[in-house]
Amino acid sequence: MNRYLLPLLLMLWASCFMAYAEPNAPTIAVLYPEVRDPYRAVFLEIVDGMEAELDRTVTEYVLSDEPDKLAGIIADMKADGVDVVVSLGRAGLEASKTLSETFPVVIGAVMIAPGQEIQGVAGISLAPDPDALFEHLQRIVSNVKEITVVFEPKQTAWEIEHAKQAAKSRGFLLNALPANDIQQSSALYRQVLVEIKDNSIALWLPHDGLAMAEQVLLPVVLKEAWEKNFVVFSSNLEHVRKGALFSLYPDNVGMGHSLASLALQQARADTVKTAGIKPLRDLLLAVNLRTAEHLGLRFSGQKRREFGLVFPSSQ
Amino acid sequence: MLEEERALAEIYGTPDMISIATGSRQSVNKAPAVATVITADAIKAMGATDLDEVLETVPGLHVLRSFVGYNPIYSIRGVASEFNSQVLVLINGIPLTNTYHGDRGSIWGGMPVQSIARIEVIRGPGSAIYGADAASGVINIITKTKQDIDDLEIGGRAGSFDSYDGWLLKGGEWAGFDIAAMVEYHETDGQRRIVDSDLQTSLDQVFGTHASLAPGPVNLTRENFDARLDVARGDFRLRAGIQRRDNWGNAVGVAQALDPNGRYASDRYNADLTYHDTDFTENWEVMVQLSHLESYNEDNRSNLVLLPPGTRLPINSDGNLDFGSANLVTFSNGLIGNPEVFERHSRINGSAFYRGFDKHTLRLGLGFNYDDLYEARESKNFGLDPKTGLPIPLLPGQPVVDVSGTPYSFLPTASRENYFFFLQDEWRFLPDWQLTTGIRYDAYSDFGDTVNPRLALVWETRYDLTSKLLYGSAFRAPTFAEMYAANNPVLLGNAHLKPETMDTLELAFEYRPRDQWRLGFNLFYYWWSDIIRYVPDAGETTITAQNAGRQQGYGGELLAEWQVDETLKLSGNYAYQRSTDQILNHDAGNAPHHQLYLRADWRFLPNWQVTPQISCVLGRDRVSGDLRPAVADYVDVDVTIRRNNVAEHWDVAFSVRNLFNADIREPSPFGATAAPIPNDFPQAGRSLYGEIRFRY
Repeated sequence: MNRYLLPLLLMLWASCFMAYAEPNAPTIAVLYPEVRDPYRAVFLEIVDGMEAELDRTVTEYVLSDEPDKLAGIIADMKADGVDVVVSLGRAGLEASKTLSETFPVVIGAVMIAPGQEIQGVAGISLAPDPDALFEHLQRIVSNVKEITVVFEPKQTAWEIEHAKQAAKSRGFLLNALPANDIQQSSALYRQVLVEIKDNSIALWLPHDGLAMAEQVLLPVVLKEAWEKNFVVFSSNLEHVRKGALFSLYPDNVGMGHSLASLALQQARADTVKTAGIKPLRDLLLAVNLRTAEHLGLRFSGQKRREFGLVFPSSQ
Repeated sequence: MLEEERALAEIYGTPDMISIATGSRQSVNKAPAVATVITADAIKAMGATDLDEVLETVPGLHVLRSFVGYNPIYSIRGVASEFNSQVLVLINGIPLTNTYHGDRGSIWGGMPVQSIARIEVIRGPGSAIYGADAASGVINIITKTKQDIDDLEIGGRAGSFDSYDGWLLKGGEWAGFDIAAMVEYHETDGQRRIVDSDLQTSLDQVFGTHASLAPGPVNLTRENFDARLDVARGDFRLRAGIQRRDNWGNAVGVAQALDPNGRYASDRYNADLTYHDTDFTENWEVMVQLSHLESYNEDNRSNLVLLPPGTRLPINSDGNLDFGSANLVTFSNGLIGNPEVFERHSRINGSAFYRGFDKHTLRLGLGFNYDDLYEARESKNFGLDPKTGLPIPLLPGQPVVDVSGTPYSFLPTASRENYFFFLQDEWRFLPDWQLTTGIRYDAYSDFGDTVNPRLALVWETRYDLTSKLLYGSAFRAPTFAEMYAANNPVLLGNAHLKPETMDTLELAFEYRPRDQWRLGFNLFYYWWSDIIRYVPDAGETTITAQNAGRQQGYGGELLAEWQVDETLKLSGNYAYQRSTDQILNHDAGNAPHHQLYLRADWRFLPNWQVTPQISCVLGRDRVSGDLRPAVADYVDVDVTIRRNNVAEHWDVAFSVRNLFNADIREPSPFGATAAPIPNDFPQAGRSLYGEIRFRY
């Protein structure tokens, strides 16, 4: 590791120096993986947000599956005088290990546990902060006391850790039930559905697909929720279309703004910064109005204007 | 990179959700009506090149063809009429209606689809909000904004019948304005299927001539140019558009006698300025819209030949056709009449939502429309010459005489003012129950007042089921032709007409038995009264427009969508209707009793999509007195295959329409004693199109 450290520091020093050389206009590049439409739109919106924040275009590099592609990109970046790289997606995270040897790197649009320290790398996770979810829960439904969640410990441990702190600070009781496989999670959901008697308990559906066997369990959960009038909220946007009350999803343009300012900070830092990975705060709210109305929730015009998406849409 | 896509899917769900979440913000359309929304993506997938091909897929809607240039007649639930004035067509909420015939202009020529973001079709009445002509349905075409265009899109298409299309869409930001500019061009020689016998064929038999050009091909040449501009900043949006139609062939001839050489043109210019503030105050959402539409409807480039050269006709002392006259005159250049109509429509309206009450949402609106048919020109080689007072057919050389502005013209200029207001209340009286009550009052300067209420009871019956009971009243305004037509040898206007009315009752269910399934079912019954028809005048050879018809109909529609897996979606609908002319006690005719539509959208490989669709049109009876056998049923199969990213930024597509070359015919109208074109209107056989797009 040590043999990388010196060149890395030298590179970072050099790049910081370059940043100093043109303090007003560090050259920011964005790297994102080659994906199909409509997935590509996520990255393009982030780029739009970055450009709006910086008030200039950023150079885009697209990372394909081809071997040695990254080496070529790094050479191009050097030739283009890039000062800092915003590296997006899973492939972007992978590439950051190599990239950070040459440039300060900001990562984004990737599911990664916030709070991690990666040497030389700052970034924003794609995972919504559980605290943001709970904040919206508190604002939308006032009488919830307890939140129940079935989670898969290997995948979602960090999310649950954050959630525990958030629940505590917001005065919720968090009933977090670990499930190691689909059988366990199915049994737990069935038990939870029996236990929830009224709307003082809300059910949170976290990200991982294992804990929530979509095809079979989700309709059962949503049907029970409808009949017993309790709140189901989710970390997955599509669940709102299917009948969950609300979800938060990334505000890609906003995320672009945040990534660009983080990149500026990195470019302008005179010492190496390890800002770590922040949870995503640029979020939009999606609400299922049919479910809301069934629960007797009513939104003022002002509240409605905060909604990024509503379901059911006109179709 | 599938891993990458899977990671994004954990946040968003399906690719579909990513499109929604990364698109422009969705507006809530909670209008409790039976509605269909067709997006730009669906239009692209089905390979549609014209609005009519899209609308044919809507349950209960069938596109019949008018004898005037094969203009579309959107028959909805069995309601059909020659000028289709019972259907309100809007672009961005603004009517396209011409007041002369209540249609979209005689030289319509179709509408291309590249600038369309989505089409919202309401089956059933909409007059309580939209006012006149929203009787059997409302078709609202929403055009693209900057948010709908990926920076730049250039495309081209070539195909059968020497058809060529080109389009350019550009979206961007300039000086703080969101701008979208769209240009589309379309030219074609049109399908040239043969009409074996026409009106002149029967006149030839009576008068011993050989003038008919039948058998001969239909004349469907088109040269269309469409351009739109959309400029938005904050709460303001300015839109402008041009629809120019040139080289327009008139299909089977406007008198149903083939006219292979006639080429006509029209222009439509529209502009609107819209202020839409969703955040006017805490509980108020406000919209104000100013709009203007100019329509030069029949700017003829060549003589409109009603009957072909060599026709011999009985002409009376007024120089008009009169089958009682013994004076036969041969028209060596044909019978010629060139009507031209110039209209302008100015509108101002405002509407607002109020959400300050606990269980009520109020919507109110008011506005003023001014419809002005400010010029009507005509030249013709029949009737009386205004200068000499002599019958034109007897003048040397049978000149085409300009009678514009004289008492001999077909139509005087006319205008109409319309003030209106409406009020709608959505009352959520129980958590799962909502009652919408609406009423609209319209005052017209020419035919008086009309009040149109509606009621909608919506019950969220279960987690997976919504039930709706709907009632609506609607009206169709008499057109200027129906009120003021003059000097037509046969048809006379009637300034005392009342509007047609339509009352509709609907029961609708939306059922989602599983996540991947969506089912819809509805039943309807309508009562259509005071239908404006031309009634023979006692003791005269003329017919006059009267509120004389009555029609009732009932039926149902069934819709299903099944997302089989991530790559395959199946959808379809079945529609049934029975409509009866209550005066003649006979099937109302022409519109199909049964319609079945099935489509598969299959992304069988990354970047590849194939979309086959099948449309079955069955059971088209004739109108009362028409003894021809029922119009033949048909099955139309289309297939579109699309390959995205064939090279970076480049997409290609290939479409086959009417794959099995079915003999598709739409019913030709029945005259007083016979159908001028007995063997109906032939439609295009198999046709092929190739398309290429560049997106950046």
